[in-house]
Amino acid sequence: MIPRARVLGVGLWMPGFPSPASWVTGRPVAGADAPNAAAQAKMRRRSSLLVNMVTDVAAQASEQAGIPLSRLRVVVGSAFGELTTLVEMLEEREGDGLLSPLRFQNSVHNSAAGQLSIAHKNKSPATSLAAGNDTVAMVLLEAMTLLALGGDEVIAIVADEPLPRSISPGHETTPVAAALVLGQDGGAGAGLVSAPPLAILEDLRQVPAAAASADRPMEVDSPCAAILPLISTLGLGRSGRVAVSPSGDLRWSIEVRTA
Amino acid sequence: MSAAFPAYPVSAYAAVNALGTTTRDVIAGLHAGRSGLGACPLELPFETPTGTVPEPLPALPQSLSTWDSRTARLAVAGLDEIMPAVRRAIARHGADRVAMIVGTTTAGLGRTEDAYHELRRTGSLPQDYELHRQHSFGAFMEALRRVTGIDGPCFAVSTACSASAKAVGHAQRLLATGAIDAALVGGVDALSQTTLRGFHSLQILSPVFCRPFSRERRGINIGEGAAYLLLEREGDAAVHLRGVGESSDAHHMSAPDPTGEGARTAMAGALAQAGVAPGEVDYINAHSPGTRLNDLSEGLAVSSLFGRPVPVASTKGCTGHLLGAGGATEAIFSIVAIEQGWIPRSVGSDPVDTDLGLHVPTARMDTPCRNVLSNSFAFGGNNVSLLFGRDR
Repeated sequence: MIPRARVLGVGLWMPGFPSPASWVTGRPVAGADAPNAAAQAKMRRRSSLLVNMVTDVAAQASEQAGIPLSRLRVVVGSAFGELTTLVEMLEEREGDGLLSPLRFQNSVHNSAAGQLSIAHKNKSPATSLAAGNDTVAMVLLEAMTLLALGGDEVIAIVADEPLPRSISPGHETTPVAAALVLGQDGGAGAGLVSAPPLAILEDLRQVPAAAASADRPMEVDSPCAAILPLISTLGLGRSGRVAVSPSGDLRWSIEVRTA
Repeated sequence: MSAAFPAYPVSAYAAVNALGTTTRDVIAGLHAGRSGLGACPLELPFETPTGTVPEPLPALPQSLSTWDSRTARLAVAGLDEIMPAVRRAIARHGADRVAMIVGTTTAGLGRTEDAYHELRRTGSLPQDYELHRQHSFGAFMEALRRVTGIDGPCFAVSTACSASAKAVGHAQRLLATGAIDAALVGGVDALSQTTLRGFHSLQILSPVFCRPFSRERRGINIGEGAAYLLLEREGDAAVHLRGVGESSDAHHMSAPDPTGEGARTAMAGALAQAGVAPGEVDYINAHSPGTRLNDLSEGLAVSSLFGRPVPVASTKGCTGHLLGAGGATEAIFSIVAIEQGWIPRSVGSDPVDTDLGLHVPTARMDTPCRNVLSNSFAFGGNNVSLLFGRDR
C-alpha cells in the first residue's frame, strides 16, 4: 500500500514550455529553447543538457514549495541518462582514444543527482533510477515510499535528453524534464512546510496487467513525457486517475485529488 | 537500542564474477583468498588487469536475442541459481507482489561502443543494433522481467558504484511499506572500453593488481559480474538484512570527502536502523577499491565510528571493482561471513598502510560473525552501508 503525498511544488521544462503554467496553456513561449540553468553557475563547470534541465525544474519546484534544495531528499529518474555525454565520449575514443576525465565523471546516470547535492550542499541520500516506460511511475513510487516511512520532503525529478541521431536514427524525441516536491500527508512527521498543498496524490498502482507481459512496447518517445498528463491535471486543478506510464502501456496510474 | 526497521530474511543469493561462474566457485575462491584478476580482454592503449567472467558466457535465449548485450548475458547468466527461489517467491506471494531492482552503471554500453565504432568505420550502425533494446537501462531489465516472470515494481538503479547496494535499500523500503512481499535485488555490469578508459583518464586505474589498504597501492582494477539476493518479508533464512544507511558527501563528483563524514553517516545510519551498537559489528566489508583518497576517507570513517579494531577487508583484490554489481556481490560476501563464520583475507593489502589505523586481515580469519557491515561508495558522493546479521 503506497500512501498519500501532498504536492507542494511543480517544475517543468520542455522546448517552448519553460514552466508548468506554459504547458497548461498549450501555447509555446517564444525563445524558451534552453533550460534556465542559472543555479548551475554555482557549479563552475560545463554541464550537460540533462543536468541543466534537472537544475531548472528542481529550482522551480523547490521555490514554489518554499523549501530549499539543500533540505530535500532527491529522487531522479531518467530512462537513458547522460546520452549526449556518452556520444561525446564515444567520439573521443574514435579520435585519440583518450577520454576527458571531467566528461567521464559527469557521464554517470547519477550525475544530475550528484551535482544537485554538491551545488546545494545537500547531504541527504539521493538516488537515480531508470525503468524504461515506467520511469515516471518508479520515481513516484520511490518518492512516496520514502515519505511513507517518515522524514523530510522529497523532490521527485524526471528528465530525458533527446535521443542522439547518431546512435538512434529515426527516433525523434523531445527533451522533457519535470519535478514535484512531495510531502507527507497527515500522520506523523510535520515536514518542513505547513502551506496548503496543490493537490494530493494517492493510490499509485498497476492496472490489471493482462496485456502487459508479452509485447510490452518499448519507449518510442521520451519516456519521461509520461509525466505530462499529471502536470496538466495539477496545473488545471483537476481531480481524477492519471496514467503515469506512456499511452499504450497503462500499467501504472495515480489518483489526483484537489486539496 | 531497538530497531527502527524490521529485519528481512535473505532467502537466496547468487553471484557470477571473475572468481567463477557459480556461486559455489565464487565463494570457494574468496575462501581461498584467490585473485580472479588477469589480463584485460579488451584492446586498450594502456596496461591494466581486469576481473573478467570466465568464458563461455551463455548466449541469451533466442526469444531474447534482440536484447543481446554482454550486460544482458551476464544479468541472465547470474539468475540461473536463484531462479528456483524466485519461482517459489512468485508462487507464494504472486508475481505482482515481487519487485525486481537491479543496479548497473553501464547498462548495454559495450554494445553501443561496438555499434558506434562500426558507424564511424562504415557510415552505418549494425543492422541488429537498437539503442532501446540493447543499450538503455530498461533493456536488460526487460530481458530479466521476461525470464523471471516478476510483475511487481521493476527498475534499474544507477548511482554508479553504490548502485546495487542502493537497490537493497529501495527493496527494504518497499517491503517496509507493505507495497511488496519479496524483492529480487542485484547488480550487473560488464567490462567496457568507456569505463576502463574513463578511470584511466582520472589516473586511478592501476597497471598492476590492485592493493586496497596497502601502502603499495597504485589504483583500482575494474571487474565485471552479476549478483542477486532474494529478500522476503518472512522466512527462515540464517541471515537478515538488518539496516541500510545512506548519505551524500556533497563534496565532489569523483573524489570522496576526505573527512569521511558521508561514509560515517551511512554506516551509523545502518547501525541505528537496526538498533545495533558499533561494538556488535564483527566485520566490515570495505568499499576500498585501492585508491589513496578512498582509503584515507573510509579509514577515518571507520576509526572514528568504531572504538575497537574491527576487521576491515576489501574483496576487490579478488574480483576487481564490480561497479554497479559491487554492492550486491559484497553483500553476498558479508552474508557468507555470517553463515560460514570466516572473514576473507584482504587480497593485495599486504603490506598494510598502517597509517590508516585499521585492522586489515591479510590472512583469512575463521571466527563467528554476528553482524557485518558492507560499504559501497560512489561517484556523486553517493554512500550506502548495508548491515546484515543473524538476528531479526
